[in-house]
Amino acid sequence: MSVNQNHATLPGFDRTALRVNQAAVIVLLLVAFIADLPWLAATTAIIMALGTISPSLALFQRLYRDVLRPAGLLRPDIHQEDAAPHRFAQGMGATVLILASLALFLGAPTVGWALALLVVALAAINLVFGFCVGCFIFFQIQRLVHSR
Amino acid sequence: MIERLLIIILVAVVIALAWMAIRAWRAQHLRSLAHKTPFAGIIPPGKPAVVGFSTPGCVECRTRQAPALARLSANLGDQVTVRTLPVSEYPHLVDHLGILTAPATVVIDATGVVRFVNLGFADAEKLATQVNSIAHPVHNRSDPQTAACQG
Repeated sequence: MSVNQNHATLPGFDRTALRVNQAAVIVLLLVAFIADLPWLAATTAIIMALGTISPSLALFQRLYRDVLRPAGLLRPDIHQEDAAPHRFAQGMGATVLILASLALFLGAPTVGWALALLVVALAAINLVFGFCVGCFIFFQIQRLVHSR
Repeated sequence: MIERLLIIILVAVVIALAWMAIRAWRAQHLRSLAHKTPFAGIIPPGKPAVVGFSTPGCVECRTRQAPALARLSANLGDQVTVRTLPVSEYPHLVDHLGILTAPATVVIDATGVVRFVNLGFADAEKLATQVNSIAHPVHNRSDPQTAACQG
């Protein structure tokens, strides 16, 4: 048997916070698309980027931790898992959304909204089906890095 | 505005169809493994085995999956072979099994045929149940099954 027995512990990772973040991104971007509000898409991009840089700046997750959870509206779903793949996925979404915002403000609405809807689609796949495309890419990058 | 709502509905339908297609493809892929022994030469046949896949950067592999595999090995003793393989050293195996994330675990029967593929963390109890279902089958051998991870 060759089992790695490193018993270091991970901090708890609250999946409810992740789901709130995904739901907020989906709702805001759909409202932005339907009402044709490029500034709302750009604001969502900035919020996602700040949340990637520092979890304390993740506005939607703060909304959950400071308001929704204390009010008893949502319950925590704590798992011992690594937050790094999820942060990578959020960073990927923020990057695509920043590109979408640039396209929208530079006069290419079709490209801009297509990219924004791509972010909506990936967030929805994670929220509804539980498959994190960004985490999958993170795994593939790790494979590439460690195969060299 | 109606036009944009229709686009959103269309996108939702495309996502749902794509997801169903991917699930069907994965099920078909796993069925194709039913008569193959991809671990030949890596895992000795003769008893069921649980194989974990990990990457060096996968914290969950070290903190959750490895202890779960150690617990499984301690509980089942000689009834099962437990191994952990680095993804980087078995890229063809990872591709062949359709492993999309780490940790992942594969349960193979005594003849080396893949019976379960768990994507994401699988606890010792779940793995023991899968091993027991192979060691003490209730009915005839079925197609391999997969379980996707959350997140």
